[in-house]
Amino acid sequence: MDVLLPHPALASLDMARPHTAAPGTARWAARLYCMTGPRMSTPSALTGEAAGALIQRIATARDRAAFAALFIHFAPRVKAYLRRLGAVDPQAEDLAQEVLLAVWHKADRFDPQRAAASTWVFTIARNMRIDALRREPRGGIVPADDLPDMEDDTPAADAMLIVGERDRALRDAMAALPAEQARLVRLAFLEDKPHSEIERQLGIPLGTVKSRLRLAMQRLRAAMEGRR
Amino acid sequence: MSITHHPTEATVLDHAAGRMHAATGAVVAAHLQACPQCRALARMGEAIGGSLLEALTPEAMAPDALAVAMALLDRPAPVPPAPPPPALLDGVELPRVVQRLAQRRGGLGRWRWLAPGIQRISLLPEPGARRDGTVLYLLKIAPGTAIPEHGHHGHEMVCVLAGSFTDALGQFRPGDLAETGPEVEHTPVADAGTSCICLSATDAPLRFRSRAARLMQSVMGY
Repeated sequence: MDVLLPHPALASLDMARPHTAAPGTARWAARLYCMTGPRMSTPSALTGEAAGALIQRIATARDRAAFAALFIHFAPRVKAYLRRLGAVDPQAEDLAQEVLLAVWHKADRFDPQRAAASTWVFTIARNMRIDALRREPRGGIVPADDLPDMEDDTPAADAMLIVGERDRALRDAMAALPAEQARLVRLAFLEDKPHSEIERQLGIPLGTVKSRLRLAMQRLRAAMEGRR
Repeated sequence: MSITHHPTEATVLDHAAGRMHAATGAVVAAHLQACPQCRALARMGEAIGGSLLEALTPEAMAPDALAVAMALLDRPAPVPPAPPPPALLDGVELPRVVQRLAQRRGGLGRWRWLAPGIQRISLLPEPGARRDGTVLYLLKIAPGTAIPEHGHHGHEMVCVLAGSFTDALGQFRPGDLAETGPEVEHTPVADAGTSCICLSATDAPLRFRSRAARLMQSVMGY
């Protein structure tokens, strides 16, 4: 990653006044990246708020350093996601690259009131994976464009906590799920297998898979809506 | 529009996870467009996906991946396809998912006779695509017509677009989604009044009970 250090994009950062970069802001995240990113062997940790701020920096200022920080954080995770679902290199690498480029191009469509940065990146990765599969001769998955758009409905604002809190609540609730429910939720997203195969694999009847998923969804929903 | 029949949570989660087949996924998409309640559930599914993505153990990209991406930033943004023009079929506004499929194949085509009182427009598999046993079609059922009693090898999903039908599970009106598994035998009957138009997907061929219906199936490829 040392190839990055001299990149002109990073020179645009205001390094002279580090005290102006408040934690959680885009500038703070980009500075953090400058200080740690190039030297780190594993990708950076980035809070949801900071990632959201970086996406907005791209939308408002085409901020290349913000892009670099997002790339360092998300590209290896998107690649991991794609590989979990059966993609192999070089496709997984190329598609992860394209997903992050889509983040750059679509940044103005990110609405931090509606979704956390990781959720938004997830939907882009999911849709681009589906598009890639559809282009394969035996592809056959829901056309991505038909998944609900970000802007097409408004949640009941009074029932919902703000996005950051909601995300934390969701994460806590997922950590607190009974192991079997948590496993089924993970499998639903990260294993490219139908429920019927999961059923075979875990030795649980399909009806039980569905009822456990229902229980899990009810708990998570309660947590996200601020009910416990 | 009051919706009373919804997909299971597991189905909405599969849809949010992006792992449904095109045909059944399209039926769920049609329901989601009509159902704010399930859309909220799908949005929660996406948030789950986001937090799982965040928690994954990162896999290193190639050493020059970022440099390559930075060099591509000035490439012009891909132009998104123009939204399809609103399509009406028998005066019914079609869900976006069907409009996009129609756009991709340059039109919907016309209703074709399938059985007395039943017409069909086939949507998936697209012409020339590999047949894998999963099909999506629009069905138009004349008032009072029963779809012969049938069970399924796989799953069937139906979303009503206009009119209504009734089976053992109750009445299904526009936006309602019927999800039936291999174990269910049912006989939907289109209600009196207007024809019932539905979007229907099966992931394995239907299995009719009567010999006549099986004969019809073999002749019509239904």
